[in-house]
Amino acid sequence: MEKQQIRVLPYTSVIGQEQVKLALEIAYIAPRIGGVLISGERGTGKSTVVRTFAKMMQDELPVTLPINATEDRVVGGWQLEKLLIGQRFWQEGLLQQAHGGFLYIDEVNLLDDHLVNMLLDVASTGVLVIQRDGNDEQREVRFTLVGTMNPEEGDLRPQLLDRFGMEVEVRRADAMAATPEIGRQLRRMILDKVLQYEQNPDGLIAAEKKAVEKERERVVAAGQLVQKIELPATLCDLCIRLAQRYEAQGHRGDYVLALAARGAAALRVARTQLNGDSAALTVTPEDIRSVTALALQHRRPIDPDTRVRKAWDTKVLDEELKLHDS
Amino acid sequence: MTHSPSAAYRPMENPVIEGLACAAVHPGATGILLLDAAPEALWELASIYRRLLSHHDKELIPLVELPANASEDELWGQLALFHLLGKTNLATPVTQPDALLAPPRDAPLKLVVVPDLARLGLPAMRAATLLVDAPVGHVERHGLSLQWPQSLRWLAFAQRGDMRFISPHLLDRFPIRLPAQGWRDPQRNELLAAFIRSADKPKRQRAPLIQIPGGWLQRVRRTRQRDLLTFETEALDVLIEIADLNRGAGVRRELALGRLALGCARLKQAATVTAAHVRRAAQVMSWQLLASPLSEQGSRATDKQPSVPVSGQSALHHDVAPGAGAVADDSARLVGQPPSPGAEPVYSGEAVRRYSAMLASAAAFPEDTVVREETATSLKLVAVAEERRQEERGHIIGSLPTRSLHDLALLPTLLAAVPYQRLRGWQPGRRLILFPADLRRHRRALIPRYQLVVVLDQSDSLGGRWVDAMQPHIEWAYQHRAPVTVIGVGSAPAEPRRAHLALLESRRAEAIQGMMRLPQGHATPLAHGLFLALQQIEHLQRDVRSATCQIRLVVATDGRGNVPLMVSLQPMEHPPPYQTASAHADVLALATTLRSRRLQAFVLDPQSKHLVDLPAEVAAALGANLLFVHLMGD
Repeated sequence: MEKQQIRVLPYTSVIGQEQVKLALEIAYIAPRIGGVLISGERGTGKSTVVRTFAKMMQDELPVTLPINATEDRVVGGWQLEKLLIGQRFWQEGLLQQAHGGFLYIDEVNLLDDHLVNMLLDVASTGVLVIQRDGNDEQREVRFTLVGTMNPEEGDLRPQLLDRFGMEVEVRRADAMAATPEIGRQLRRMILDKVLQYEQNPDGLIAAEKKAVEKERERVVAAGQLVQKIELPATLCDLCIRLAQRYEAQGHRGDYVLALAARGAAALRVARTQLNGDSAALTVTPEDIRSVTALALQHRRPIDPDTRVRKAWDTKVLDEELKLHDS
Repeated sequence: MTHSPSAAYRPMENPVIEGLACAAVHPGATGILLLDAAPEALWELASIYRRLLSHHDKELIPLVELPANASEDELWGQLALFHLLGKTNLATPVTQPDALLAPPRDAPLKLVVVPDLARLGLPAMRAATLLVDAPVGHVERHGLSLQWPQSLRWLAFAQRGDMRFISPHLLDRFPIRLPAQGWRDPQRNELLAAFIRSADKPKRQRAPLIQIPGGWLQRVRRTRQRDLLTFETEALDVLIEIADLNRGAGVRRELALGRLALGCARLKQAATVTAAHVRRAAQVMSWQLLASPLSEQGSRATDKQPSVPVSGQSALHHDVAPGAGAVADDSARLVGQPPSPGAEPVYSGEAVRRYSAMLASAAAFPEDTVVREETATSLKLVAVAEERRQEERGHIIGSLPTRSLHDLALLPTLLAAVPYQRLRGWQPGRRLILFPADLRRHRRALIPRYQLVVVLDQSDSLGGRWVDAMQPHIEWAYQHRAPVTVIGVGSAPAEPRRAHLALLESRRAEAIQGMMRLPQGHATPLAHGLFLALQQIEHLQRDVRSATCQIRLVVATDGRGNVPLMVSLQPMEHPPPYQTASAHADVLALATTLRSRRLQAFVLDPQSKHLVDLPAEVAAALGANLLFVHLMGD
């Protein structure tokens, strides 16, 4: 096993991509949600955000399942060098290595089907059953699945899509800007930051060290708060109604939405507390607003006429929140 | 003969060298695509770039050529059989460390040369997508778990006319494009003469056959280590203006321009990156420049474009001092590289030649101007195979005894040997003792060996009536577990002048019949349907896991095609008037091309009273069996 120390752009130097950051932070502090799928056009920094977030939280890159992986590296196998001299040494696979943390798959929609099948078995049961090469054992394996993909290369299999608790559809940072001028400013900042980093990575990492540490403390604090966050019954109803209104398929939509809202609330409260203020440990309607698309948009049904997923309509969300307020 | 480094270089005759030099000094410029280079220039340019990337000529960085048919094991690493044969010491890793894309062991960088990006097999394309412009590489294969920081530099070649065969996803990884058509070292004759004169001498005393002109090598090696350069505000403005004119998805293109501008500034020993450097970088890449320079919108004279150096002047001598104004040159206001003359048509037929010409007219990013044909460029592995060496493909599902070393399963072989070691006199710390009876090879999942590709005329007179005629072919697909591709012609009112392709997940008759019941259109873009079939078949045959497979092509048509291919490839709401006669010529040209693709082809002729000869003409061009069928309702 050979892992070199690898530098990546500091988390605080990633310009924009607020939704991706929110989803990753929630997935980290509330692993029961089941991970994040980050889908978007090329060159939007999807992989960069994942790597830098993992680096910030774990001080190393996430356990990565590349699309070139062989089966023995996914589920584990005897180490050949040892076997050659008559010794037995079981080398853990990536699924075991990811236990308790992130399992990251870049270009997840290009993963070969037989690897997807293995992944689905483990992700759905939380148990890795090893029956190979004379080894017979079961191990508990729980990880947060994080995938990035370019939808130009095709969709994910529905079973795998369902294993991702949340989905973020990424666009260029400037495409989300309120005005074209703000968009240009964002592009300038991105260019400046990335080109600065490429010339002197150690310099930028050192310059951002304190800011990164502060961000890490905020996420850790949120993780300690999340179990204490209350979800009032009326807001629980709101989650259920939203899942119904958006025709979320399966039974996980409302559940994931409620968990994600708690995560968003924990992050908000942690930020407030670190600023020296206090905040109630309760989910608010705005917390639900911030995560509804993350939790429900990939669960929308396929339109039988157009054969594409039904479009996301924010009016539904506005209506339901207004109804709740009234 | 001595070679004066700066005397002969004519910068605008050789922007490709300038571009390579600028990229060589920037660590983020990891992928370069050279467009339309002549075959004989390929290794010359690769050799030049390799020297530019190396610190000394005596310690050149390693260079590997990425073969088109490289397998995943060749790319990433495979188990070393010599371990079992006892031909190495026990400390050597079991996974061979010399895979094509393995990180360099004793050098800071490794240069990967891709002679033709459009001809790469799927495993290599997928590998390039993972590695180019990524900060980290990962390998998890055969017990090897490795991650390493970016240390591969990629130099790829492609013809503009072939861009439609390359995934836009992969092309996006190569935003630095350098037009290399007609590239020729201006000193080639002299170098060659000197080389021939010294050919009898020992190798080290021979004259170099490749020389880097213009003093770029010395400049690059001197300037690689420099302080942090910052962009002037105006430079960033110009960069974004130019990037807007050459806009793609994401930020890779503008980052590429920034990287090359930085390289340009470094080579000129500038203190900051100016607008002039940005424009220079854009010119080198033949990007479209500002139609109206910022200088004309504002009041500063210094904003003006740098002049385009004239022939015979060195760019190094033509530099603009940081912050100082350059000589204004109106010719630089709207500079697009002239269309490439070098794009060769791939298929016969006038329509396809016109299509290639259209591609060639785009400067740096031809992929922006074409309609993507999704299957031809997909990076997803296809499920095809042939009978020969079937056992080497498919994922591993077990092992079985074998008498040869072919597709040997190392681990099961060792496990089979372990119980008998005491009997065989093995001693702790020594290598296991293997007998031939221990050998095991992989048992692999079968991959479907057949494919059915159906081109189905679904226009108003025929749509929905092919069900019975298709039944034997649907059964054939079912019996052979063949994946099915259906290309509907004239079935989609939303885009009536284009055919539409669907890969069916199920080969059950109902799924295929469901495709036949799609809404019917009025136009019949049969040429585009055959074009998509050709693309799909080439995609299937590109997966190196199978050199080919048995493909059955069924064209269900009355022979009529009334939309020329060019019209389908450039969809617009109100296309200019076109001759339907040329549509038929396109159909026959594409059918002739398909004939060379080793297919089992059928044309289903519905025996229309008005179109008696057309299906037979298509069948003859395709080399297909002509089957007369009765449609439902006749």
